[in-house]
Amino acid sequence: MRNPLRKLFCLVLLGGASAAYADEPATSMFNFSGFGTLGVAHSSNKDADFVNNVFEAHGAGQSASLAAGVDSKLGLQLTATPSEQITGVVQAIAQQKWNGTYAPALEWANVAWQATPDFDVRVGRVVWPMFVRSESVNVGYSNFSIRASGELAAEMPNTHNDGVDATYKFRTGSLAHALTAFGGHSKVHYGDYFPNTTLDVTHIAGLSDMVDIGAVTVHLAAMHMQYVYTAPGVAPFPVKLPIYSLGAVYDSDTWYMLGDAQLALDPYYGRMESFSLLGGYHLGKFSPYLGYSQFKQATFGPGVPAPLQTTTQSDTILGVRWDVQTSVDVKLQLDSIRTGDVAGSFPISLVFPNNGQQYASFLTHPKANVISVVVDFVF
Amino acid sequence: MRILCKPALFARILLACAPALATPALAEVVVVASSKTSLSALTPDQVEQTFSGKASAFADGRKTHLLDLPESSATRADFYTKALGKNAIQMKAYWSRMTFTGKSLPPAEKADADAVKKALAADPDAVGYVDAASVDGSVKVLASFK
Repeated sequence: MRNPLRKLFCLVLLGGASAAYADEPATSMFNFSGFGTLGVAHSSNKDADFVNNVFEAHGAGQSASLAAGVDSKLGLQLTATPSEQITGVVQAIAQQKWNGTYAPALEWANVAWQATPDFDVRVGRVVWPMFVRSESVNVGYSNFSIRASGELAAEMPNTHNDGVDATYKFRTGSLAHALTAFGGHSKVHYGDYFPNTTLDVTHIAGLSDMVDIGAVTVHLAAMHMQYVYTAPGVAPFPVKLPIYSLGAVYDSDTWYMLGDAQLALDPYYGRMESFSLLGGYHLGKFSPYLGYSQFKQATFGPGVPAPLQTTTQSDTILGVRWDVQTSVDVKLQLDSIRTGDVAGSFPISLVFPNNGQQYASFLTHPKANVISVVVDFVF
Repeated sequence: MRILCKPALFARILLACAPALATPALAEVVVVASSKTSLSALTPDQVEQTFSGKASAFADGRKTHLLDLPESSATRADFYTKALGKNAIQMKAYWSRMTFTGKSLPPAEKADADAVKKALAADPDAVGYVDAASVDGSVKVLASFK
């Protein structure tokens, strides 16, 4: 998909450049913006690494006492609006990748056509829209807590989809819907903890609905896909997987609440359930928050051998966001992570460097307390 | 002595916090468009949908060109609190989300109420807000928040 995305990138630039000769004010043609996070994390467990997601090569714990690579990132975005109907978006993010480098990668690269005021179509690299805040998962400043729930991402860690999405906005009574149909494919490369491991998701077809009910936004999504998990010693074969999710967010000027739940019915690995709840309070420039999220493998398919059939992970978080000034926040967060007695059979937030040499030791204390501090900014 | 000091200290903390906790007593803030606009009055729900970029203020759905006052403006803070129930920080976070999803960009910022009125006069599709005292014959009031 690299080449088609590059073509799209050029198309956006060319579209913007050609339109720049029109009479529209130049300021509205291109908008350049960015976001980033600088942070460090420390984990109490030296037998494992705490990671933000399974794409990272190094985490906090065994690899480093204080790891900057868990949360730090820089994102740049160019938005081109050659006309009121056409918008092109290219967003690249430099963050720790599977091989430990920080080479920028395209998170979004799409062209949107606003066919009517209520209907738009986007083509290119678009969001993997399974959670309430999926589209801004990397933008720390716009999020309540430091990072998205690892437990929710455990079933499918993908964040984008190369394909198409079409959104229709309509109202039913007092409810405002944004109903999106999407399709495409998405390939991800796991961090070096899982050498030469990729997840190739194809035949994606799904629906998501974002419904505004007064101050509450509810999100419903259903997605069907086929995936192939490729790892050394594993014969790749396709698995058909449906996943369903339900979430909601409420954010008033005094308190907020964010919740997501997801169900994956995997015929090979089994039924997987996860949920995440986060609530907080705005006290002037400070917003303390509390959260809990859990991943549970409820039933086991033929792909999970009997000795590994106890996979759960939970994370209790306590944190505070301090809005230092407009566009900059500082967050301090404590994560208390507990895993089942056979942790790591399903990669979530605790992973094992050096081919898992300290895995046996880890199992004697399968938990980690993580303290993280970050500065988020947007510009 | 130490015990005697405590209530005084508490009072000082309260006083120090008071400006942050109290809502500034500001005048009425009004949503305005050019006096030549085709728009009539907007309901509070329409104002919320329009200023969050979720829907157009116009019946035919054409894009509303939103205007904002600077982040330092007390009228801006007052407007978003009253009309959208959000404080300045929440609105900044909200527009960050919208920007970085590519969905929509934040409103165009104008220096003050006069600059808003000038922009409204030049663009029939523009909608902004000003304090009620700044209203003159060049603009039409679409909604009011006290």
